[in-house]
Amino acid sequence: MESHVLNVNRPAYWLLLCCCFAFFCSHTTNANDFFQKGYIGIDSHYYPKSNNELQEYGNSSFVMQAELSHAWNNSFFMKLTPFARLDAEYDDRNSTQIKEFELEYLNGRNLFHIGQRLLSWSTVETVNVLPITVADVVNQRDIQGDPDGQEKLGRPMLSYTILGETTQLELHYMPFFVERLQPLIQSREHFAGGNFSIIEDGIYTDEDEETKASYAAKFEWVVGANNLALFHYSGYRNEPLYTPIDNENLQQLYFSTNTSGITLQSSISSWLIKLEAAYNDTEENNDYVLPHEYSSFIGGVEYTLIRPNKHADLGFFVEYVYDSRDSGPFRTPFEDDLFYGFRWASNNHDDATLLGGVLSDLDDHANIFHLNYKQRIGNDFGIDITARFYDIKDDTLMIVYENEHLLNLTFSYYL
Amino acid sequence: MNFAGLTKFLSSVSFLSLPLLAFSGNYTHSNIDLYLDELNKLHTNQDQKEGLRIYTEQYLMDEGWHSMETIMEMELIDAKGNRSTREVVKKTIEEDSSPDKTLGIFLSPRGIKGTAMLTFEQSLGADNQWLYMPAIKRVKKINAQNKSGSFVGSEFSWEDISTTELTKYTYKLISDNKSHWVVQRTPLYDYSGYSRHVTWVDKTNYQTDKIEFYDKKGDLLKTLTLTDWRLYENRFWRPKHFDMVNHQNNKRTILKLSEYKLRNVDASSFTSLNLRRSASNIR
Repeated sequence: MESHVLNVNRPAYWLLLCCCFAFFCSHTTNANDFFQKGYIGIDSHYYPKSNNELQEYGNSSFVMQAELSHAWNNSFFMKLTPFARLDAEYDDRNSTQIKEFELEYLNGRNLFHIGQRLLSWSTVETVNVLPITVADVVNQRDIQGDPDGQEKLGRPMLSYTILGETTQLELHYMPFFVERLQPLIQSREHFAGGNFSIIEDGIYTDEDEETKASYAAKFEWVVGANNLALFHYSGYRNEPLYTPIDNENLQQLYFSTNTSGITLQSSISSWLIKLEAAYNDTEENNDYVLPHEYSSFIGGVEYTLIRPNKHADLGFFVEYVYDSRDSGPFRTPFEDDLFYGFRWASNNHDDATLLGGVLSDLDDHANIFHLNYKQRIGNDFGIDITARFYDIKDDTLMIVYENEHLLNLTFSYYL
Repeated sequence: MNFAGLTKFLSSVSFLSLPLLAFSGNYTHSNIDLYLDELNKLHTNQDQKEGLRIYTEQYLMDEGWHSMETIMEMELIDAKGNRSTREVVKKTIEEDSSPDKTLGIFLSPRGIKGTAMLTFEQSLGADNQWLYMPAIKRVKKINAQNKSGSFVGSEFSWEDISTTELTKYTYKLISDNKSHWVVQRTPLYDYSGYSRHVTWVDKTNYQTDKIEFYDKKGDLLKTLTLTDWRLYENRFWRPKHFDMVNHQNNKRTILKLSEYKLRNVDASSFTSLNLRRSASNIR
């Protein structure tokens, strides 16, 4: 595929953005106003069990991120978030990204944004732990960097927001699509468990390919203790379908969908209620077999204990995960599952938190155990440990994960 | 159509909304009676009435500041004397006929810079609270029922740092010396960590400059001393130094506040819809 200068994955795009920011910076007075925060750190993934002889036991990378911003006369605001990852094992995990590079203009209740942006619409806990998409439909996941899919890639867009006291309408126009960056076959983050290679450039159901525009809108109300939002996205779905080319290679196929959904966050005394649901309607195409229409839902509650004069907070949560793709060629393993667990926050000077949860399939014997601990060390360092264990017996889709137990350690120095 | 039922429904709606319609704006001596109606019934003897009078005076003196902004440096000192600090921009906006709204944006430690918390205080029920987490760009509704829990690891609990709404307590004058009234406050709201506060109110300016907090068992838990007072616009007294000592765990938290800026805050910052913007764009 011909390289496009505005393709967000190309160095030229990166360079162009840096030049723009340097230009804006040179037109202001004090350089110290720009740097807000950042970190440098070591991020290691270790997979104790072997899965495929081709694949290694993990990776270790050096990561850094900075956040620069500046405001001009209460109307203009600019933000730049460059990110870089340098991997000790795999060149494909080396990455330089502009996660955010946006210019904001505020005029009364009208807010305009142009640039590379990250939008997060999710409300539930499950999506922080597993790569499931219901409401977070705009940004592509950075699968290479983070197998849980928490890290996202920025997406170029033009946005208009009407601000209200209790309502807000956002409209987004996205001229390009951002493809998923696929890990190498040797890498454990690889989708097909090392059994197939994935061709780097994807194919599209639309002849305009990645330059086909996408649109998104969100309308949110806040009424007392309730935040309710309706959203719509029209464009390529971020998760590709993988179609075999031959016995060794898969190709990524991106197809157009219309996704409409709802999110809710609400609190009633000690209970929090969170849900997100979406209906996906695939645009018809004569050349490819695509999932026609499907709906997905994640929703649940969280209860926080009242513990007078105790420093630490303790709460329990349970969320139900539903997806209508429970059979056929497009079926998903997360179609009828429960995610339940606890959250403990020390509330101490080191902000230590522990989250433990289990995702259990309600139909087959498949459990994913997830444990995350993080704390600050002194004022400037932080540690984040995630352990994941798979207990898969008879789930034919999940069986590929049975040896994918994972230990992820991140050590950061905050700038 | 059931006309009688509809009339009854409409009249009950108008009855319920009457206190809201009856008042909009700041309270003064002449219009506070409706607000105090329920509270007055709980104050029957002379000492209780005097306690309520003193706190009503303090409350009315502090009406009309509109909004304020200050930078709060919080120093946490543990029992061994180890110190850690955090810095928060605190913005508060005064709301007509409802409790105040507060926005806190962390400046340090650097790992949590840009984390923001928005609180809509409720007189008696659980506050409405949202947290913006910059790492995942998400605004999360959080549970604010746990009023007795620590505020970011300090010796201040949520109920200590929220603004003082008059209807949250009952009052009783317990003694009186040359410089101060000593007034006991008893929390009316659920889930307080305290059985009572003993407060010292300065007779010259009606400001509370010392509070003893007693736990549910009735033992002394903490003492807060407020010093370095400033007078703004010739009306509004604000302390710049808070010193909270916990007598049970021997920990201590000192809050040092910058100069307050009054009437400086944009009301549009105080919505969960705008929290991400407020947090990343501290103007």
